[in-house]
Amino acid sequence: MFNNLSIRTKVILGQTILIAMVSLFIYSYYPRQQEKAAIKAIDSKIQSLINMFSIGVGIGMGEMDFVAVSEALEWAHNDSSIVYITVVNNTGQNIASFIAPGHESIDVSGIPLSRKPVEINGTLFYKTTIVYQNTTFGTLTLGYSLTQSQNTISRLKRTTLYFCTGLFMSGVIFSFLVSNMISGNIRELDATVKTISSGAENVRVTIHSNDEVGKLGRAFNDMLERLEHSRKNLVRYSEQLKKQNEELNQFSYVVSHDLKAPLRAIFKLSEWIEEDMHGSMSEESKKNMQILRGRVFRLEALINGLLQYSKIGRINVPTEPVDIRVMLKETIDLLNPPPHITITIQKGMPVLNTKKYPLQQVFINLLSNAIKYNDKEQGLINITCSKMPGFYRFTVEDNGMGIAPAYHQKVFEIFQTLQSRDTVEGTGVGLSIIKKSVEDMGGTVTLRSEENKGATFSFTWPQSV
Amino acid sequence: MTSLVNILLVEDDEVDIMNVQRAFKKNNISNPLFITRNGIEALEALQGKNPAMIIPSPRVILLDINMPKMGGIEFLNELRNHPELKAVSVFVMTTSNEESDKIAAYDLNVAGYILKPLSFEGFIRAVSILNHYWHLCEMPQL
Repeated sequence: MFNNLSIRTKVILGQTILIAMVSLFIYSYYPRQQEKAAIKAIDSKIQSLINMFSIGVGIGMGEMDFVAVSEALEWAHNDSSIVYITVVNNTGQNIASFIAPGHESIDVSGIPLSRKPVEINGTLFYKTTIVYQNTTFGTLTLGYSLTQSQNTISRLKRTTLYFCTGLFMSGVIFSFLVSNMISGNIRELDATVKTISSGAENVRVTIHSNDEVGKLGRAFNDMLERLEHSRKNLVRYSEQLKKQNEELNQFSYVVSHDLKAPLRAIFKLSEWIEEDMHGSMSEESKKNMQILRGRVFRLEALINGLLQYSKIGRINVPTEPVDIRVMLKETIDLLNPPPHITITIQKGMPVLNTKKYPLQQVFINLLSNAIKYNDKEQGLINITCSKMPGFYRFTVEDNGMGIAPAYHQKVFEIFQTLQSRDTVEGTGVGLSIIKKSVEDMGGTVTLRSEENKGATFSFTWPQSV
Repeated sequence: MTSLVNILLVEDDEVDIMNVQRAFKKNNISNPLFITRNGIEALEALQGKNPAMIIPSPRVILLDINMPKMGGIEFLNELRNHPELKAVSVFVMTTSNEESDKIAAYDLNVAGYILKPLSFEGFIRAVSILNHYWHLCEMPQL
């Protein structure tokens, strides 16, 4: 919940709560403390008065000196808070009394003899025995009005309330100012970041403070500078790449036409020479003519392979839903394997949204290799698939002639064949096309094989493009 | 059919020209065959600007794509914009298997796009089919 608040609000809220707590504490603690102190003061004052009366009255009554008693009374009058004094001797005779106006009706007879005062109508009443030199002379009742001290306390409470309110208000204002100071720079940084993330260019943070935020702003500007720089580089590189790609397209077009045209001419001319000689050509020459045309075919196949290899990843192929099982059946039909080869497809092949053309090309090349290099009476090819995070792993396993581990790297290079092209007609492009196609899609190709023990090619293909 | 279709071959490769001539001979095709080496020469001949080569109607063009000075697609563009020549039937005969060339050619209303087979036997068959085609089709005599 607090995570959604801005830094400014958090700071203000935090400071306000803190100040409120301090103010409340002062307001509730200070006046009460003062009140307690006042009551304590009253109590000790009363005790000393009682002592004084006890001594005065004790002396007075023991020697029947009423003057001392009235002097003590006189003295008590100095404190305007003392509103009630009665001195009664052992026989119940009222010796001296003073009752301030407005307190006449108070009945003090019910007050017990105790050190503890009893409060009646805002007046504290103390009732004690008068003892002088271990002789009890009577009782003293003393009333102390709390009005004055209560007034003082409520005045104090009011002042404290004003003080605390003032403290709170100025605290809130102060916290606003401080939080603005702190968060102003952060907000500016935030606004700049938003502008940049919405796509604006050449925007810089303009914070001149030297604190952490200022440093952050400068670091941010540095970062933007570098980002701009690398973006410009990237644009330049991609333009370069685009140009080179166009040149490569042009190049492959030129290669396809200009390299093939003379080849075709050689091919035709050899046919025409043979034809024009009307069978007067020796068998050896005829055979040489055959070989010559075979080489022409091979060169054309190499040129086609080179073209195909150069096109991988440069041509935009549409993405479409591909049912792998259906695609594999089509591919096998296309390759038309000889009857001694059995190809099995694992159940549960996926359907995925991908670029069909390169994926099918990979399977065509893998399967045609598996068919071409199978020397067994019963050729077995097994296609399986397993799921990996983000990828499918397809495996084509055969029981063919296999590849010695020493050549596992080499077979993926372009134009590399392990057998003479005169033994098995092959361009050496197929596996390099597989590798390039798979890696172009972010996958990898692995080969597990030993000589005469079949080969297992696995490749990973992204689950979605 | 009142008269034989006149055939204009636009081709820069000498061996390819020989190829066509040989295939005509093999198929006993007696249609007049005119030869130009690029698009510019072909346009001049068709417009009657070349006194050494007057090609009467009806006319069919066998066109190569890759040629110096003016290639096949460029030539087709000029031809289709020409008020008198725009209706001429054109067969592209080329080695270019590029999708872009095929699309461009059919956009310019070619009657067919033929990939030159590598073997002469294949080419003879292709030319024979073409021969049947222009014997079958009625052409305006303009």
